[in-house]
Amino acid sequence: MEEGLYIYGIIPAQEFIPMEEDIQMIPYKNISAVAVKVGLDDFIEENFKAKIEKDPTWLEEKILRHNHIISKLAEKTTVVPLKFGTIFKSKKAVEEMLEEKYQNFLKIIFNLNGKKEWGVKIYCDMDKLKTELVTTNQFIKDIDMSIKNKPEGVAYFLTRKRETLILEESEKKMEEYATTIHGTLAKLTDKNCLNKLQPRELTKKKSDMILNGAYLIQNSKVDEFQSKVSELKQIYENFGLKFKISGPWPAYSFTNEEKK
Amino acid sequence: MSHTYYEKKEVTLVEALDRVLEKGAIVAGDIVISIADIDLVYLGLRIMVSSVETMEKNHGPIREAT
Repeated sequence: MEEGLYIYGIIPAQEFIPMEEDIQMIPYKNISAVAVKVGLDDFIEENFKAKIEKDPTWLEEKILRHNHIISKLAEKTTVVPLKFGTIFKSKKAVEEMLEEKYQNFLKIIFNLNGKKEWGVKIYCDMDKLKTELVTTNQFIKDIDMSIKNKPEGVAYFLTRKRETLILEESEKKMEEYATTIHGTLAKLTDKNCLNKLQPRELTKKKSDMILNGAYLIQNSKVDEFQSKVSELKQIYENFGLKFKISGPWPAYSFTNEEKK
Repeated sequence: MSHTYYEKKEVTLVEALDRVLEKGAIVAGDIVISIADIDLVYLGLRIMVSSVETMEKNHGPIREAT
């Protein structure tokens, strides 16, 4: 079977890092691509699809190994993670890519030095948020007052209006909270970005994800970042928000040197 | 190699997905696999992929290479 080189990431070349024995380093000047040999046939579109359909664990293993190798590198050095599934046909092709992208990789490595990525996911318990809203929102309280002693038809109309209002206001609040929290955390970062919200089918949570933020934090600022998260958690728990912090991650979300 | 990466200290697949599949530096490999997240249907931790694209670049189709 024809073999190719799957590239996990790019690191500064001068550092020796003990890795699994199938991992090889392909150097160019002072950077290296971290690679593993793969059978090319597995990655041709129709074969790849068929393989996944037959055995989903095969892809799971590949995804988890991708993260495992890059995380291991990140413990020892600055690593630029490549997107999952980047494969070259030959060592020469890898070297050509390194040559072409050399300046970009240097810049990214420089920007990521001494920093790690942290993730904050927030889930919102809508029932709790609504309960909180009913006791604090003036519009809703006004309706509650005026419903009393109204004829049945009017009361029905007002009740419907109240329900719509609660829904609208709670969605507004939810967005407001997510924006405020992200903004507060962003101040402590070098760079930050919002990742896509994951659906419930994936998260297996009863509440919707309302924030999936990624934050690039200087290692010296991690404590400050974590206490800020705890502080926000204490405040927003009362409004039905649940926090999940993860990290340190290799800087997956910050591999674009143009972004500020 | 099977199941080596499920050790308890490792992150879960769910946690890794939005970073490993969505992020990372993009370079023009000879093959680039693209798995669209919207098309991922998750059943437990089993992934069914309804949309997978692998793109072959630069050096033409793999089958022609020797």
